[in-house]
Amino acid sequence: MVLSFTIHSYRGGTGKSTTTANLAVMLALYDKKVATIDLDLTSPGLHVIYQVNQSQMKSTLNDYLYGRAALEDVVIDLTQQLQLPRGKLYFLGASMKPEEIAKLMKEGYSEKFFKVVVEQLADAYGVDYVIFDTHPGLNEDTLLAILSSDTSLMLMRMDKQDITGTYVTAQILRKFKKKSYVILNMVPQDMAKVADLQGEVSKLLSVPVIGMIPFYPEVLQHRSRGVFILKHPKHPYALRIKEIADFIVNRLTG
Amino acid sequence: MAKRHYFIPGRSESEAALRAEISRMLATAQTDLSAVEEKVNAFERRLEEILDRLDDLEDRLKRLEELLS
Repeated sequence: MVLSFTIHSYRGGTGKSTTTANLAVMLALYDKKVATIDLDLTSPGLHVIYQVNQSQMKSTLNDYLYGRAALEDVVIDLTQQLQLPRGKLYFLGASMKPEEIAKLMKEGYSEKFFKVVVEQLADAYGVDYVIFDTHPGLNEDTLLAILSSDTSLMLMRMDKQDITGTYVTAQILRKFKKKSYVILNMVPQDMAKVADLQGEVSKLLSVPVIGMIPFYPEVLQHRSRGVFILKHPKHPYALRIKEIADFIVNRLTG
Repeated sequence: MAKRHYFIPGRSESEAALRAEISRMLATAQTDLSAVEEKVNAFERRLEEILDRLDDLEDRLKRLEELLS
């Protein structure tokens, strides 16, 4: 059975696309079939991390949304390109054209898109996971994406603005009875040493915290040069991503 | 020829109701902000205390190591 989830954050620059790309690769390394969809339509960035050229993106998610292209024209199979030894990784990229971005921002996407794209990806590619990399912030379209997927993973940095925004988001999702989880990202090294930091945050937000990723400058520096965990599989960052993937595979699936 | 999958644009009736509910929730959430801020401030103070204790512990350990060496 396919599981869909959004990776969301209250603020931009929280590491959503980096986490999405690395987590998707890790899930593929568990021999899973994973599709990642770039829903950060105003500033798409997943293709940069995956090193997908514009020439590979003959049709985009925007074309699919307006019925101008079939799913098969939009999906890019990255398994060979990234030299994954097992599993499958698919990518659906958003258009970079300003007029396309403006059109979608004005019109928004429809609720049924989320259900249909997941069903079609399961039918055509047999995917186990569909990950939506959303636009940051608390707005109607992003909440629609969160509410239309099975589960929500909220990425949070340990600063006041982000904690406050995540608290409010968690409150809203609870009112909708939506299951959500938090991942602490870019945690300063001194704070990362605090025993049970995850428990403390979980208590504040009333949401389970399923991962804590300290700030590693080398991850930030690497950003546009491919998927970090493929280049540095033994780096502590890769282990943190593996813990989150373990949770998804063992606790969220089925 | 393999089956091709298209999305048919359009909105369902249930979507309007869901969007209205989201708007209502967003408006309600904004009115609660002062209470949220109070809770987050308390959390930050608690975290600060923990970090201070951790610094203190590290200092003591360092001094102990110096004494032992």
